[in-house]
Amino acid sequence: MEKSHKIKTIRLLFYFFLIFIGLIFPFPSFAETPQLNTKYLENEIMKTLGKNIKCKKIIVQIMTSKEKPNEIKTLAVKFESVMVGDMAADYMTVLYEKPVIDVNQLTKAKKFKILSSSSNKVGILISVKAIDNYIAAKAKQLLKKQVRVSVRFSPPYAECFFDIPVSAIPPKTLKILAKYVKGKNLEGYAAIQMSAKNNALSALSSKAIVNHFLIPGAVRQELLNTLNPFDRVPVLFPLRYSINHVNVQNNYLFLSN
Amino acid sequence: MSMTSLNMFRGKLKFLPGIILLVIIVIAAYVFYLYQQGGTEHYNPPVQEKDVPRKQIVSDMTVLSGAVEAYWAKNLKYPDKLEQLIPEFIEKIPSDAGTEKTFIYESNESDRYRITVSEPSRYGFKELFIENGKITQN
Repeated sequence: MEKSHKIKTIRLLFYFFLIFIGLIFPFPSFAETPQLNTKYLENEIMKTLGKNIKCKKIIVQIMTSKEKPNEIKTLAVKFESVMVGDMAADYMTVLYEKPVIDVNQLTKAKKFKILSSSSNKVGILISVKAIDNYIAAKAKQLLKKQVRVSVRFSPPYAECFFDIPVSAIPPKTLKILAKYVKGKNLEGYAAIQMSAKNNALSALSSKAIVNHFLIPGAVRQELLNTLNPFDRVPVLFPLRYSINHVNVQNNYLFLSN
Repeated sequence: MSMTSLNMFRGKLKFLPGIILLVIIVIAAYVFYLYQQGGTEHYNPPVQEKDVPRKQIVSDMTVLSGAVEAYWAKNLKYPDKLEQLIPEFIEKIPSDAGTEKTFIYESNESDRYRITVSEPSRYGFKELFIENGKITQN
């Protein structure tokens, strides 16, 4: 009887001890949240995006703040020679501030999803060479081998030198330029500035010469009204961005949000 | 129609060939001008006229900021100094037109940059700077 009482007392003391320990060292301090494994996350994002987006190289950079090492401050993803639609952009960089990444989806389903972010930034750099290649590929695709278009950047203008067969020009455009058509080709020059809104690209022509004739402002405007927006920047899944600025620089056409 | 008004009409008709000729000359001169301006020697962009200093300074700063952002898009960091933007992104660094001084540029490389004018009051501003692409002018 006395023995069982002793055992009960010891058991009680043990429980007290456990509670006491629990009060001094609260549970969370035992199981301290593991440090955010940025390298692992960077690798997973890189692999997942690599499957969805056609490019030469991907660099993923996660930065955490000193105050909150378990919180992602910024996530930057840089793509090199990335296919944006039919054009191979030289560089494309996307930055998310304070992003919340669906880690479960990323690690288990291998899907990259940003649940929320405070803001994001995108920059796409396209060189003259990339534009020339794009035009050549388009001409080849349309079986218009005689189409000769070359581009040169003279900030803030993009200069365009062209020699295009009349047969390759849409009838609507041709109707406006009818007075300037001599022979089988449209040869000339255009200096354009560009603008963007919600991924739609528009041209603002400042000067155009067709078949040795300077095109008057009114005709230029009519032409632009028919052509604009002349292209759309595709949004690469699973990224989200909206291009609203175009900047002609020395070596690149710089598209940004 | 009375005789007097008929004579007046005839008098006006006397000038008609002259007017037609004048119109033809003007049209021909315009066509000649368009033709003359269309030679390959004119394959160059229009010359940009300098804006009023207040607008010009904002425009120069915006161009610089665009080049810094493009540098970031390529290198994943901001440049240490503006000279690093030459020649890939910009031809030359514009200087503050009012003072001929260079713009003040600060960056911590990773996530912040700022382009400031040394004497904003010269342009009627209390503050004039671009930080991370956002312009502040007041």
